[in-house]
Amino acid sequence: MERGLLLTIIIAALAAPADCARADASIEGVVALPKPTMARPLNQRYRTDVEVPEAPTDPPIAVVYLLSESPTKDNSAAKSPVKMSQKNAMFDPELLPIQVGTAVDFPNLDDTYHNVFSYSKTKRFDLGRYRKEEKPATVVFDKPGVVTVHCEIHDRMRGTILVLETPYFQKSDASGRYRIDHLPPGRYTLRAWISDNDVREKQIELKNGTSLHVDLPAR
Amino acid sequence: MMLVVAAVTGITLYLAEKNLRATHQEALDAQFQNQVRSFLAVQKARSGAIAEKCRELSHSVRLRAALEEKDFDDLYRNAITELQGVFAASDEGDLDPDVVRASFFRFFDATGAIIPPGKHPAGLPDQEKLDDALAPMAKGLRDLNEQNLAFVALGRGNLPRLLREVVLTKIRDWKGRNLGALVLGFPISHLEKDEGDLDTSINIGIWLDRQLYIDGLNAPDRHQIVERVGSAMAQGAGHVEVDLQGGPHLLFYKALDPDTRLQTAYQVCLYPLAASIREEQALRWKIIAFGLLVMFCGFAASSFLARGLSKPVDRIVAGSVENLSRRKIAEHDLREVNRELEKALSDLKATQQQVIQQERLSAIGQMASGIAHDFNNTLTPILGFAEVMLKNPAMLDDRQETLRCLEMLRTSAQDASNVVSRLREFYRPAETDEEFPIVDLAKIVQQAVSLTEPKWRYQAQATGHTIRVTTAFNATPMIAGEESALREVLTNLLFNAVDAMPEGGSISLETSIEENKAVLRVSDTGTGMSESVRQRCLEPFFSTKGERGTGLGLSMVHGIVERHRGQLEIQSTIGKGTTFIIRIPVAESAPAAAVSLEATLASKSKLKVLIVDDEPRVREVLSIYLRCDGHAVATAASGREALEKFRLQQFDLVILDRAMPEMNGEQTARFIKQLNQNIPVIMLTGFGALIEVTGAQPQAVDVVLSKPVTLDALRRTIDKLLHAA
Repeated sequence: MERGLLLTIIIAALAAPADCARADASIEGVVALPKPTMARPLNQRYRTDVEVPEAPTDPPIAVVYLLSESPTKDNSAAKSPVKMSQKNAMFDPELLPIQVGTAVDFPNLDDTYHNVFSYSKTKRFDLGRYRKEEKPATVVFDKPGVVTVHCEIHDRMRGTILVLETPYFQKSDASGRYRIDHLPPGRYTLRAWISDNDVREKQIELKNGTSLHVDLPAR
Repeated sequence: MMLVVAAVTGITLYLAEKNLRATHQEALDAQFQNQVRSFLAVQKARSGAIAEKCRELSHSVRLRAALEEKDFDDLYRNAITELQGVFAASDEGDLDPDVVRASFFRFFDATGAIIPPGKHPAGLPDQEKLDDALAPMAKGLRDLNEQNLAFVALGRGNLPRLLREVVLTKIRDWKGRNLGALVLGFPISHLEKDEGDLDTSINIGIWLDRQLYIDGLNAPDRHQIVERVGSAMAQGAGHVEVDLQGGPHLLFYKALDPDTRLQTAYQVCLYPLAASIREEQALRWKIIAFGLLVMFCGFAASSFLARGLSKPVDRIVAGSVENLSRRKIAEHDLREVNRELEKALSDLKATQQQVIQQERLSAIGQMASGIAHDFNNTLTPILGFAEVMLKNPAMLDDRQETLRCLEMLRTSAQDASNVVSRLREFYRPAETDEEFPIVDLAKIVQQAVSLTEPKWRYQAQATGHTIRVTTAFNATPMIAGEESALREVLTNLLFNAVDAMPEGGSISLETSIEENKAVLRVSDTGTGMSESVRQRCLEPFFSTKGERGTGLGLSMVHGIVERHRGQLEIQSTIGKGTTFIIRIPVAESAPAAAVSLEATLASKSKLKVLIVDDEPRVREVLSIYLRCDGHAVATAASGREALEKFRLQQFDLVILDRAMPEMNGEQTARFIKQLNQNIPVIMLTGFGALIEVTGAQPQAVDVVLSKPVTLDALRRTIDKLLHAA
């Protein structure tokens, strides 16, 4: 009896995604990434106690996402805020893709001040200076686009938030490989965003139960 | 006089003016350099803070972000916030003059375009004017340094207040990419004249892009300066003289920022020369006045002098008594002076005499040591042969060899006596035409070789080396010479040769006749002489033998050769040996047959001879001499003994020594003559030469003979005396 109940729960749990019975396709492939550029050390405006790494802070990573031809009304994302924290005078993660409407927290994990702000048109915000124990305001990104996040104090800190009109996105690994599962079948635009100047896209059609392999070579 | 004064005044005037002008110019130059320095110092102090602020600002993350996002509103808003305290929104207001306020700022974007400030008060609202001023800067943005200082002119015009100093700072993003630049301009207010400075006639300006920004100049002056400065810069001169309406000026200029990649600005300084010209003129008048004064003084002095000079003439004409007494005084003075002069002269003569005496004494000293040296040389064979014979009695069995040795002994002894006789040279004036007997050079060479044998053969053998002596007589020249002196020459040369060959070797002697001269070559295979030694070796007391040498040998040789009217030549090579070449004129006539008296004097008669000498060895030698000739000999050791013997016996001849104790030779002779008027008396003396020279021959003595006396000399004397008698 109890056993039967447990089974039912498991089945129910498994069945839950199966409710949207169509979301069964997947896509994978390789985005050809550009070589990382060495960041030139610059004079800092402020002296900090935090060791600033000399190594490049941006091994290029692509954000791969699918835009549906028929825009989904699925705003189920951003139920809970995601985090872009500051750690060792770096944003973590440095590249953060989110769906429109997602709230982001910017907790300071360092022992020094940070001042996170953005002048990007997609989302202007300025959290002011804050320390580890202070909790800055949560920012909701309500427009799609690219938001460059700075720290006023540490000029090498640089974060990018990619605000997307789709729940289907994934960061590639450092070698450019990506894989997105549980996709509903249909026609999509497949995009890989590497920088504002390097966005690649392909039109694809996903069929139920299949896995598509699409590479996005450098243009 | 007038001419001189005029000329001197003229030259002084010229030099003084030139000097003054140069000094003035130097002073102005120094002042200008100081001014530029202080200008730059002020400029640096003023711009330093601004430049630092700009540099800091260029790292502002917000400004970078705004530039990156092209959010120009935020860009200027942030900049105004950041530039608080540096930038005054308007030029007027209660500005602290010590704090420099920027009068405008602008951003360039990455392409060099000027980003308009929009509604933000970034100063200088006349955007068009600013665009004109900044356009060249923006265009060359790529080539500029990270931070640049420059001057720009805002709009047309030529007043310094139009100028702004500008700090341009590049802005780069976190990767070093060019994002744009910040330009901040501020007035060069300290260039503008203060109200209080109005009386200062010095004018300072800036030369920028073929334009002169300076206050208070009218158009023609400005035009002239622009032209002059332009050409001066082309020529690289540091200053020019310009003739403005306000008078002549000296213009200095200097680059304020020679390293800039933008338009170079020059500071220009105008110094009025009016003051210095006034000074010059004043000086000129002073000098002319001084010259006139000098001329006047000159006239006065010359007329005074002329009058003064004519007075004595008047007096002479008058011929006053005063004049006469003065002359007497003068004469007296003159006599005094004369006497003093005479005294001085006699003093001088005495001193000279003293000097001569000293010279002579030192010459005697030299000669004495020379004689000692030579004497030792002649003693060497005497001692040598004597020792050889004494140590090898067996040698005496060889009659021939013994005789040869004895012969050598005699020759050496004769030479020794000749050496001593050379002391005469000091008492007898040097004979210019010394007559020498004719001698055979080859024979002398042979004798010298034999004489020195003890040294070159036995002494060398004792040290284990062999010295060979060879002779070559290519001719047997007859020369007029003193045999013993020539032997001395050869002896010296041979000794030197032996000393020069410590490892053994060979000596060759060669005689020949060349160009009517007897030539003697003495060569050794010894160490040879360096050139410097060769040049000095004839000097007296120059020696290379250390303590063993007197340094007189070769100087003697040289002297003797000269005395024989010969020449001495020395050829020497280090390590190979030395050759001495002596050239002496060949005698014209054959020798007057030096017939030996030995044959003729085979003592016709047997004489009874009394020998008086306190030296037993002299008595012995003389006794032997005379007995050999068959004479009967009696001896006495003193004058007293001699007189006793003379009274008791009959004698045909008395030979006595001069210097004897108790009764000397002269006294003895006198007594003997008193006893027998006709008896011949021969006096022997070691001072023979002295007596001969002084001519103080004792009256009681018939003949004076010098010691050492040879058998020959004795025989000849006896013969002469008895024949005469």
